[in-house]
Amino acid sequence: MIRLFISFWLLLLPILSWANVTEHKLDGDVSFWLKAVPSSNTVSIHISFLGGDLHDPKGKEGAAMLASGMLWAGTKQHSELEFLNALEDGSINLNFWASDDRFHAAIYALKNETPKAVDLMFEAMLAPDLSRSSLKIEKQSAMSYLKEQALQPNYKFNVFMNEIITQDQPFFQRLTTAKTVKRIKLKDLKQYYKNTFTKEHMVITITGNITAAEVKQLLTPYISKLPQKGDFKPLDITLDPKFDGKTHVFEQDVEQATVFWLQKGIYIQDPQIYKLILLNEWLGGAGGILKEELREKQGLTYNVSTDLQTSQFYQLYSGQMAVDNNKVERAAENIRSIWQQVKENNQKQQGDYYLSAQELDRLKKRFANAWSISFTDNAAVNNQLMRFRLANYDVNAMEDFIQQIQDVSYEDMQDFIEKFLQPTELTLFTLKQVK
Amino acid sequence: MRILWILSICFLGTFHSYANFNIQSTQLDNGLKIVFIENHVVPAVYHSIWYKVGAKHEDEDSFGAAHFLEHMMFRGTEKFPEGSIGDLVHDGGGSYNAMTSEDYTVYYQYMPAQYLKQLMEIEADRMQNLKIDKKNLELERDIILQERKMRIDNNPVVQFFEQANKQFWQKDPRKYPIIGYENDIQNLKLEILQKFHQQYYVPNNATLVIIGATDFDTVKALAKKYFGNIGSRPFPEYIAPIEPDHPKAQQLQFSHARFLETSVNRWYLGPQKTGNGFQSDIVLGMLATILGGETGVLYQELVERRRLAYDVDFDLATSIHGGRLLYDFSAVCVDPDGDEELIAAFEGIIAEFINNPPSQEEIDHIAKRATNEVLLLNEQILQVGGLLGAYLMLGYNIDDLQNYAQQMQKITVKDIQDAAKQLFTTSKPMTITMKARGLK
Repeated sequence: MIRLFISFWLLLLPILSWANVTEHKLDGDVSFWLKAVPSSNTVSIHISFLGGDLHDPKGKEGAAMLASGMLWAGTKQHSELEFLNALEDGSINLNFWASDDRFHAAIYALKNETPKAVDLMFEAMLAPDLSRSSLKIEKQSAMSYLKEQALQPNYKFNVFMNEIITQDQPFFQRLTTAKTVKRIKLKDLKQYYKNTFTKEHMVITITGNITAAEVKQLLTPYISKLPQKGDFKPLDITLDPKFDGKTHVFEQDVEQATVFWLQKGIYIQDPQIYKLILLNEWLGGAGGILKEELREKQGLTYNVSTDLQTSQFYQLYSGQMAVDNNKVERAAENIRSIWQQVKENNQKQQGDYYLSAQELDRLKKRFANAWSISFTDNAAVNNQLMRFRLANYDVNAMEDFIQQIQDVSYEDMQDFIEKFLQPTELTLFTLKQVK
Repeated sequence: MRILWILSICFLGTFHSYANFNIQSTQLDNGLKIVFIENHVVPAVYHSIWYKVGAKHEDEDSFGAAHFLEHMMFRGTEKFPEGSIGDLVHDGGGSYNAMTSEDYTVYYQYMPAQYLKQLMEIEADRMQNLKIDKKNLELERDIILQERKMRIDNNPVVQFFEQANKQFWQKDPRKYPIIGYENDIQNLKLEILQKFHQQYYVPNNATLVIIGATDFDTVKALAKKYFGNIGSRPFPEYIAPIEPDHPKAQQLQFSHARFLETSVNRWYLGPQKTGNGFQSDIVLGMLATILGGETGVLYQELVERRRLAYDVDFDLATSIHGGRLLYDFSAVCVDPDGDEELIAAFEGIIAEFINNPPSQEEIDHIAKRATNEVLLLNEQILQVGGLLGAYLMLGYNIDDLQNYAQQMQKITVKDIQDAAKQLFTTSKPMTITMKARGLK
């Protein structure tokens, strides 16, 4: 399943070194990470439960997405309009969403509005006003959107790539479609909430002007109401992608072609990830080799990007660019050639596409500098804390990350490039105009 | 867009309510304006230079030139060759970009505060000494052609809106796409870009907007050091064309094999501005907040009660210095053939709204919400930087921004009613229907 989920590491780049994150316990062995920022005016709270898209029952894909959307349909205490007005009155940013295996609820509010924000967040999750009529409307809207999406060339292209990469792994070929959404019933959503909103596997991160004692006082009344366990279990699955090293062509009526490439990546928990982060910055970053060669020197594309699609379920390293229909073959050849040359020049330790010791030092310095400025608000800090938590990093992850980057030696990096880049397995896909 | 406007309301309120967002400003002898807000939330600076030159300054020989020049500005100078800006910003762990509108072209960087000196040095140098050579011009031409394909030609919805703009505007420069048509990009000449740069990239046509962890004395001293010696030059005066009222309603219908949903947009022309338009703009902003969004009158009626649409909004679509605002009602129809019924219902709601506007209490309530949003924005340096520059380019002055909260609190029921009457009845709208055709 080629998911265009948000890349963990791309979002992370670059980040401020917010030290002194602390861990605390709540009722039922639930713990929270806290980054206290007493000088701030705001508080960001992110709560994550086990239960996401990958837990959707077979044939009812989209259940977690729909369950998140239905939390906006009003509660037993407030109509939808009253609920939205209450949020707007307090300028409270509230979000619910489902990711691969998790459900997320997050608020960002002024300190003095935080109790109200927490109350509304839990009210929506624990006392949603679920009616058949509101589900029908939500489903209609989702189905209408999904049906139109299915007509789009990029959607079809994704399905095409997915089938080739996942081949004999049906679990990763599941797609949310209008048909699967149509099958979802009210009882499925109720079951989803029951399984998801439990203390087990619940994780919390908080950043802003709040103390641990205040957090405990604020959250305990709600968390104590949650059952300890649900039926959802952590998923022990991983995608074993098939990289055949070919270029697969997909034709549609498009004004501009797309070149997409893919190879094996690194799992998020693997310590090798720090080397891939550095390699990716050098190769696909804002001032990287690909942009320099394909955009600045050859004028082939407006933008070229790469993505570390890394999680506990996937390890993919991909990239894409939009090019003229007449230049798509040339663009694809360029990608292959760059992969090949980076590997060869790494062995020879010379040439255009060669990561020198000096370049590596520059990259490390860049990360160190970026680390100090890129969290521009508490919500950004908090989201990153949650990413670290969900990837099973420890509470010092914010400080450790930059140190791990600095600790990568030149020899490590050379060895990594040699093993990681496999030009013969680099698999390309092109979406181009029908002949 | 509505959110942007709400944020803008909040942002403006911030200046009134919080001394730590105090705007400081000055001007060098050569006319360069400097606007600064001290902010120590992050040890960084948002550094930007805004030139009052954009797509509206072009003619038939130079369509697309302002945007093309924005690209060429990254190709370097003698002192700072190609890649220098990128290298500096990347090594510093920062980010940079640029943007062209009808009114202005802005170049901005976000970096650790200690890099402010180098950023000013580079901007001052490329204001005077930009190198535009043929080889780079042709490379950049290819890149811009791909940008146009990516943003417009490969997306039927955006393509149709480009056509709608061409038909909607009679005199206003928004008639023409900022990036230009493919033919314009193919034919733009090097001399045109050189002339554009020479004419408009002058200190007396520029504003530095800096926000971050430094102080005003440092900013002033650095600006004087790097920009102070650049001579001012007269530049061509721009006289904004007056877009007349549109006497007849217009209808456009598009269809595409990829459309399975029918969507409707209705464009309304804002009033002719008096002064810099600040007063009327904030009233229209409040009107859009009342009508648009999920808690707005239109969503509640058309989506929640009548079930005619999956989604609706009403918001400011585009604005231009000295020009009329464009407001956009947008909706996705539940019934692919229900566009006429939806528009009829919309018209009924608006007529009712004009006759029975919200109470003063409701208006005051919305104004009050803005105060909280202001505080949230306090901690967002990049957003504040972008909004401040954009508002100054739109013609608002610093006093307008400082006094905004007071002005908001003065909005009355009559103001809203008059603004609605003016917006919905004076000039006739254009209705754009993107009709479902897929699978048929």
